[in-house]
Amino acid sequence: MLKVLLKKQMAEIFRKFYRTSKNGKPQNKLLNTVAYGFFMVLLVAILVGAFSMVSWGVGNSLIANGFDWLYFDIMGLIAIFMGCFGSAFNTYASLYLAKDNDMLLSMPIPLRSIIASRLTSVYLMGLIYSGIVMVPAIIVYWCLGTVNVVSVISPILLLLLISLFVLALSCALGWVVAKLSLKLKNKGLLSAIGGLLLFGLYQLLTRYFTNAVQTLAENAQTIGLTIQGSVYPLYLFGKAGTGDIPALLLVAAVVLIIFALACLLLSRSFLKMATMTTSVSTKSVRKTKLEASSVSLALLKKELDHFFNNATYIMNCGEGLILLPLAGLAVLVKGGEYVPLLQTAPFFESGLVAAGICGLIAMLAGMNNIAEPSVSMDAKQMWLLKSLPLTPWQMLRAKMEAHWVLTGLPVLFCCICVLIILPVSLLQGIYLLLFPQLFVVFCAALDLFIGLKMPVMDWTNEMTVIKQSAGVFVSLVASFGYVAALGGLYALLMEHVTADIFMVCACLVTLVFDVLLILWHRQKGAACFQKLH
Amino acid sequence: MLQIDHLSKIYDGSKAVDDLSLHIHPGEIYGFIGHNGAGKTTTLKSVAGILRFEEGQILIGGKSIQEDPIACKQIMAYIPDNPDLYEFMTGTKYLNFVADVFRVSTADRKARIADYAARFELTGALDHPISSYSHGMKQKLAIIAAWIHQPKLVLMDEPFVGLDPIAAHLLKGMMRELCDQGGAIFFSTHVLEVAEKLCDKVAIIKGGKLIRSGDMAEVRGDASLEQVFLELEGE
Repeated sequence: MLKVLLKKQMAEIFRKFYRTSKNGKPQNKLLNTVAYGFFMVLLVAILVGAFSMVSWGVGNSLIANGFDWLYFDIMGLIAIFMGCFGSAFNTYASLYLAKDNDMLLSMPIPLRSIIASRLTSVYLMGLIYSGIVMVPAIIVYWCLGTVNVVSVISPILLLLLISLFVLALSCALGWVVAKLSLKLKNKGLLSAIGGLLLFGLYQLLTRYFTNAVQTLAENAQTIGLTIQGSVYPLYLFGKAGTGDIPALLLVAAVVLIIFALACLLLSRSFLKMATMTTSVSTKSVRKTKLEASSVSLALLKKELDHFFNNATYIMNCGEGLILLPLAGLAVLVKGGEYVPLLQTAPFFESGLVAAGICGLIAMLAGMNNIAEPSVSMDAKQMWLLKSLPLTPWQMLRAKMEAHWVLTGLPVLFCCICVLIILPVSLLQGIYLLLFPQLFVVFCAALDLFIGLKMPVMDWTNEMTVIKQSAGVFVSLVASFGYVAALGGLYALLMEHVTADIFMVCACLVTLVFDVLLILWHRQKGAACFQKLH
Repeated sequence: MLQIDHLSKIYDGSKAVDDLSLHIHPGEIYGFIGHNGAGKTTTLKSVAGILRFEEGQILIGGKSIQEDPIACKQIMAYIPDNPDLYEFMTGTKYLNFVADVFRVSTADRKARIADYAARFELTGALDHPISSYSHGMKQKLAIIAAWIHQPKLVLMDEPFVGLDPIAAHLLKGMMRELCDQGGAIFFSTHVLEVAEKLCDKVAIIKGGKLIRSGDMAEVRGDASLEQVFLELEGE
């Protein structure tokens, strides 16, 4: 039975690689495999490369001094954190919000099989995130330490144990979110705020990570002895990676017990929660005022409501919404300290600093890809949108406007904060305000283009659209790729043009792309939307 | 009000609807019957402007659904057999959204929502999220949304499925009321007794082709609608 469910689950994830969701017709398998394979390799290479450098830095100072267990402690904890960060938010939606829960529950399928099939994607996500940290860490360990059968096998076993532990933690967090969602009114927004707090913690830890590693390396002996003496389980955890068999067995036993407890918790509560989540909160929410507004405003409000009532949507497609204002505030509070330093930087007058800041703000704005999944998320209500007296362009425009409201306004705030503390020329001030806005419009139009070209119209779980769809991934890569391409182009031309001139050209080029994309949406995009069903 | 001429809709090479012609006049309740997969939903969706079709034309109030879809949709409403509504909205928000799209004035929408919600006993649930609604409640909400702009033509796919007897009775009353005011109703149903009692005219579709249509009395003759339908299906 589990095999059948897993097949269904996997078919849902991978079907879109081989069949178009627009009409279910087969696509070119080879071409798609090559294209998706390329993107995946690119992404993994970037992340693995980054963590290889971290592993090398940490390992160099610890493994050579005999603190290889501390090395596994550090890398293991990062892997657990990454794994939880990547999969915890999936758990709630994957387990409790799947549209086919009722159907599966009505069939003669053991509950544990349904839970296990749902958890597979959560486990895989956790494994991938943990693996991104642990695989380079293990390879670095093999390079810097002694290589024998035990030292080869034990870190791999540790990775598997970490992935199970991550799954257990994700299950527990999913359960907490489900419990809270039964009690809260604005659960979407509150869950998202909780998630963003975790995201903030992640950013904070990343920020202080370099200093912490340096301190660790300098005081490895003292810190190591302290952990060994007072946080013994952590010591055992690290030892498990180095090939200490008793430690490995003990860690395995503890992880398996925790995992079993998580499974028990889930199996006892799943039925109640999965069936209650669809009939939750019969309490009234805030009363809506019955007031007429324009069609475009009504469509925009609908898009914004959709976003703010869906924690998964906010967490996966709207990180910039929080990061941009935070960055703006950080600039206001701390930026002044760095201004004298920036003013002495070479090419400050020519606009290199202003251009760099434009790039950074654009990168943060690129983290929002709200418009991309919005087309697919309307799949179930396509009957309504198409039977209402609305043109496809009106609907597409509302999606782009929502993207702009949720990204362009925070970008504007961030830019104003920069302008308050950074003394720049008039031209630099203009492009500091203009380029990020043009880029936001570009992202909105490009995301929507990708959303129309790669729609997923037959999903049973919104997670498929928001997190697992190829379109979301492509839109992220495309947004960052555009900024990176501009940066690369400037690096090539910097001897011939000043940053100011380059940024004026970048504004013009982005404006041209904006206009072209919007024209495409008005004609071909509208036709594309009309064909979706 | 609704004029379907030689409508054909092709799916993957085969005709789901084949050369179908129907005329519905103001004041008429027109029933559409046929077995599963006969082409009822495809026809209704084509009329509603949801599906594009290859041959024929559909005129609503004298305007073509393909050439002037907005004008056509402005005077009609469509209710599918299983209305998937925006679950993140409350009932009121959803109705407000639909009213905005149809440009219904604040005073009119307030009065109509209060009236219809009271009739369907949905007033207390309107400020609850739609995700908490039962199937029947969603159906009622979809009906209120369809009636909110006082359409001239209402298209319904199996409208009585999921409705309790009181709500079904109310809906029948609303359908007749709309037709008495000069509107028209075109709906599909499998409940032949309802069709027989409610409809002024009826059309029977089989394999995408219209095999019988006209006044109820004319189609039925001396037999019951069920007998006629079974006879035609058996041919």
